[in-house]
Amino acid sequence: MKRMLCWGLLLVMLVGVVAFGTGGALAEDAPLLVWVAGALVSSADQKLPQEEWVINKLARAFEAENLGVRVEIAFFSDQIAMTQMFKATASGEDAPDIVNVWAGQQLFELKDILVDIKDMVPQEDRDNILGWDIMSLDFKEGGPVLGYPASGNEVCGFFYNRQVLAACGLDYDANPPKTVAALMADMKKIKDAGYLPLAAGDNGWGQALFTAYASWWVQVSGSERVASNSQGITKFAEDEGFLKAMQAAVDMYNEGYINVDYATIPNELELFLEGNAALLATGNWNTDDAVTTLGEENVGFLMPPDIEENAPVKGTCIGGPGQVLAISKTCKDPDTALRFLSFLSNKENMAQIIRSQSKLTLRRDISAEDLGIGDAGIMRQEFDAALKYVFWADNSMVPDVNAQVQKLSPLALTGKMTVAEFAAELDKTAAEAAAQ
Amino acid sequence: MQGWLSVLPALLVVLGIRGYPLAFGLLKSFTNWSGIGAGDYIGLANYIHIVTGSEFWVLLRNNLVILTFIPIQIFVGLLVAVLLYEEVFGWRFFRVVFYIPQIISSLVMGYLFTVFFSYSGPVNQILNNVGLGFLAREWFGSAGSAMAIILFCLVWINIGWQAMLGLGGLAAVSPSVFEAAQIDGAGFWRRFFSITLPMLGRTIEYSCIVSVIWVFTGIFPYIFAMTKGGPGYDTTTLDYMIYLKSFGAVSKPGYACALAMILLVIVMVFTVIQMRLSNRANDWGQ
Repeated sequence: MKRMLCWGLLLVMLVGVVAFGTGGALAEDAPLLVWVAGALVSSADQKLPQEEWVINKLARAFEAENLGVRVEIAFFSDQIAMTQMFKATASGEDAPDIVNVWAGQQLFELKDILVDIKDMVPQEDRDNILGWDIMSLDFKEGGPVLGYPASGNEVCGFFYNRQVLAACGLDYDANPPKTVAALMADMKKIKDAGYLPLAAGDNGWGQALFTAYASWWVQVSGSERVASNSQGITKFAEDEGFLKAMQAAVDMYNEGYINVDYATIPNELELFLEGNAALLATGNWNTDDAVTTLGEENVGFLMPPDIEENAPVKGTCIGGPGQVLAISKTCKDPDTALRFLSFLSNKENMAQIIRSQSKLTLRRDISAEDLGIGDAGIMRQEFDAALKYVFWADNSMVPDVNAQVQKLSPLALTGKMTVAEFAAELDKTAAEAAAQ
Repeated sequence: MQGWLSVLPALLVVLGIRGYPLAFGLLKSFTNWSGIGAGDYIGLANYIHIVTGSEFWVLLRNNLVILTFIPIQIFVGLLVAVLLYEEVFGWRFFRVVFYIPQIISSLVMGYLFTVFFSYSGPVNQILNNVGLGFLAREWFGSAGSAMAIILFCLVWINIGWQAMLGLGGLAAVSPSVFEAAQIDGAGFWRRFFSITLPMLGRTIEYSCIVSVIWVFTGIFPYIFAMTKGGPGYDTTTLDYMIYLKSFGAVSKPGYACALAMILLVIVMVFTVIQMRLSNRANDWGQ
């Protein structure tokens, strides 16, 4: 019995020693740890076993091409929480090597803990991938580049229901409105015909504002002015583009062209899908739902018409890469991390990712045909529009001011606060944020 | 000494779980911590910014308004408790029904209310169909009606909990007291106001304290699901703002820590006041 006990103890010690030794070996062979959010793991992927996710398959393919490298993907459903965790871990050993964050100001806030990859990006990627200007700190050309544009391009504007428009005597395929004034005139016709002209919702983040109305603001003022307003350098109250864009949206609401419950509606998409509304303020992420419900022949995409005929920038819509893959300063092998990002962004792999995400291309050398998009239809309209984007206004603003816009814009856009009061409140918040 | 030793393990666990985050939060509240690194010491700047800004007072006002649901909840909850205690027809069924909202996820409950009271939701449709269309409105679109819906939701959810608490309190009261009152001709309301309420003093005290703490620290999911603090800041509460500053796009955890410390003080002050008032009230009853 004693002998058995001794052998048992010896066995336990041996196992412990072996495990200890293996632990040391593992530590030396640390994997490339990548934290990703839903932008890289589609909702369809999330229903599958992890090894079948597109991002995991690509990681395995990268490992096969780079022997000795191991890539470990960790998925977080809440991207904001993930970003906070990244901040908390960025000074320790638990930080990921690569993290998936929002583009724009949220990315810039992390500048102290991210690697500047300006001199590391291969020329081929620089030439073919869209959005490097957005990856540059404070959108300044030549500044530090904080990450790779990721996940795919997005494009925002209006979906239109062909049947409803036809019932109102309108045909946006042949004759889309060129200016906001023309759009308003069409909206009157739609309303007179008994339909709701535009289904729009705030959804807690100023959805219609940032997907549609903001394009008029950026057309006139430009992304840099949007950013500088939010930094307290310039003023919202003196920003002609901001005032004009907001007023146009308020006028539409006051004329009854937008659903009366804009501020609180939980399901404006349904208004459109049920055929009650002619237009929907949204982005390409609703394309599948619209096509499935209304049929591809009945739904189209309209870039927001220009704010006026002599707008400084015309024919644009909100969009651009809203997502970034960035390398943490704690990464022990930034070169391998960068190679992985470049690998994910090559033509073949990016096509896989954007197909899985129902997004649009971020590469100039991926054609509509490569993605199986035909010559006509809403996907083609979105594909063409995506190349003419102006960057998301919400991502361009510093977070305090963006949060205030999200809080107060439903009040302003439904007439509970004037545009001038709204602008004054934003200037106050911007000044306070700048003072801190 | 033996007593201290016996509670020491639990005390250490409590200190570890509660004390450490509290001390950490207190330290960070004096910094401009952004979540990255340690943050720089800025003294009382966060506190001064909070109490001198108009936002804080709006949030506090909202919390105070929400407190008004507590007396309603206690009254209705105890009424239900008495009915269950007196075993009215179907009391077993109603006991389950009233408690159901307590076991459903608060986010789900909040979302249900959002749908019910949406502009095209069932409530407005019913009002329109019964000829009361003039009452239909965008319930979450204005401060008054949005707050009223929140209060209604909180009362409705807590009736079951309050009733169970009341039943527990009533179990400690001798049935002969109620029987004697009934024989003496006391009606239901007389028994409710003259016997039930006075004899449940400690239960009501407990309920008040727990509910007040809950209003300041626990209604976040309902606000999140129903109004997201809107319109504007009209239904934003202190705990919701702490969430926004900590985990929202703004991300100022140092500022959020200061706000949390202020909230802690407010909750402590309210609790002490309630306990003193309650002690005095119970003394009067003796």
